[in-house]
Amino acid sequence: MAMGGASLGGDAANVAYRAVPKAKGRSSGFTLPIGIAAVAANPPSFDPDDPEFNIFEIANLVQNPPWNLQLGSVEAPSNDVVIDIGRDHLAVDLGDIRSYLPGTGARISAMQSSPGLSLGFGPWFAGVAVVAQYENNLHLNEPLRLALEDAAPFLPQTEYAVIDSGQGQAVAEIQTGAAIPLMVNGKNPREKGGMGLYGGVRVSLLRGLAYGDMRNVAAFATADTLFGSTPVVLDYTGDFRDAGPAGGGWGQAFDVGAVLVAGGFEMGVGVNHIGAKVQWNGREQRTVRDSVTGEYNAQVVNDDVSFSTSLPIVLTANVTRPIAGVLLAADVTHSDGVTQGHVGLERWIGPIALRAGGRIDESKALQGAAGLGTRLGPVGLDAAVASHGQSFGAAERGLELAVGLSFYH
Amino acid sequence: MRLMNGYVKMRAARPASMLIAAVVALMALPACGQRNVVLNVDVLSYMDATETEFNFGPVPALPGGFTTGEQSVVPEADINLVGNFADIADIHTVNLRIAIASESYSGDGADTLRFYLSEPGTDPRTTPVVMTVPLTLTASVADTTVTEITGDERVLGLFSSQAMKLAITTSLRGPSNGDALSGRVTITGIDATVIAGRKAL
Repeated sequence: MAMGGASLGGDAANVAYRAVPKAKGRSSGFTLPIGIAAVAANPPSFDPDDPEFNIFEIANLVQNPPWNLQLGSVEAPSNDVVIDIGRDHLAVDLGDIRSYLPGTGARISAMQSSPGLSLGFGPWFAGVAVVAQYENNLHLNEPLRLALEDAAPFLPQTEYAVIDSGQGQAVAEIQTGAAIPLMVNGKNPREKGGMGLYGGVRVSLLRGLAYGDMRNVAAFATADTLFGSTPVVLDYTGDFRDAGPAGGGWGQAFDVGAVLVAGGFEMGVGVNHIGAKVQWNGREQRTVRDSVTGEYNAQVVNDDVSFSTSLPIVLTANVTRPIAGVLLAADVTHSDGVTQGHVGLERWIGPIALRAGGRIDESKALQGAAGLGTRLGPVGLDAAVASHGQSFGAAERGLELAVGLSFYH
Repeated sequence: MRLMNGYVKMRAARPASMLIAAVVALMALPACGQRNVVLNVDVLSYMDATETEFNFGPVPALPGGFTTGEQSVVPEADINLVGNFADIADIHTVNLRIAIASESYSGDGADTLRFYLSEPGTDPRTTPVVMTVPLTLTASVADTTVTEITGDERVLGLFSSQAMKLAITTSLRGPSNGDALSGRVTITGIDATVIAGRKAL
């Protein structure tokens, strides 16, 4: 993280790295959940009648999971919300809350793979991993966006709606494959004059573990005259589909990668989840408002629905090169239409590693990071402070502190 | 140090807004910290201008003054509000502000306007009067009277509902002596301000 999230190469993103000799002084590791500990020590109130209740804080926890320690707090907007109504007139002034609205739409998606448990036999390997993927799309229709963001008056004979749709799935990957040197010059490709070209393929048998999707629509329609003969009533419908482990079917995926090491220069390209599809058997439900009682009820529409899902292809390219005692690393990832870039520097001075980096995030904003590391034998301790743009509704960057352990090769 | 092994995280558009519109815009909009939702209702707009302006007189001078008794100005007006508002907000107070322009063309006297509010299925005039506005009429004088009240629990409940009814009456008293009373009364504003606090999902 101190290097801006830049990758030094790993076999999860690029299977060919299984065949690349480990570089001396490189490490792998994980960050400690110090942010979760802080939240657990001072949990937010979920009771709306509690004066400490802050829905913005809760939403921030959902949007920006506190694995790392967040250096700052989420302040709720302090303004009143003003609604003006009259016959044929409705206007809403949200004040500062406007900045929290999604504009033409907000999308969040993430995919995370667990570290794979694998065994190798020469170039061959087999293992198991779990991948979790989710995405959510929030959309205000244009009339509602204008009414809430621009405080434009509501119009007659118009539907105002907010649509929130999301999907999440967890899939087990039973993996096998091979990674081999394709071309090698010298004993160590990282030595001066050395060179190595490595390639790898990985085939995964996929098994669905859990799946859920939903589409929520909250809407109201205005009549010929606003507040004329009928009141404006907010309505809600929700469509849900889910499947558990028993409903998880089978599928397949294919990964391929290549790495070139020439002296100090290293470059890798990996493509994961090619053709990844999973079959499911699940249940469809719909939540609707009872027109008589006004209560919302969930109704099972189909308790044995079959469908298939896919995992987004992930493209990863990375380069590393030491220059004058400084290790320079950069990478670019692309998945599901989103491209992110990272660049980082590392310099060891005695037992202390100084690191800095930056990244272009998903909103195309520049974020920075800096940190320190030290090691005692094969184990290292790292700390980093990084900026991010993930704080809920915040116009300014957020800061987070990460602490992690590294294991040196 | 990588954040996590094999970790790919992607976002697009404005990431800050993921849940907020669903939460804030339509359901938890009142949950803006410790602040309020202010609902301004232009009650007068629900009535035709012809209903809220009336001429009176001539009322002849009589010892003690001639009284018309309580006469209907607006028999029943439907006031449609925001459905489900009470589901998403705790209404704390409601303030009613009524502005009336009056003018006596001739003669002195007095008028009393009464305002009634009720549920849709109830005749408003069978319920307690919500506001009484006394007007003093002086010959050849135009005046504007502004009266404010804070609604009681019953009125709070009405503004929590989807709809209500409004009725307005007048009670005129003529002069004891001098010229006959004639003039005009115009209701220029009936504004309700509802202050509501948060009430979660």
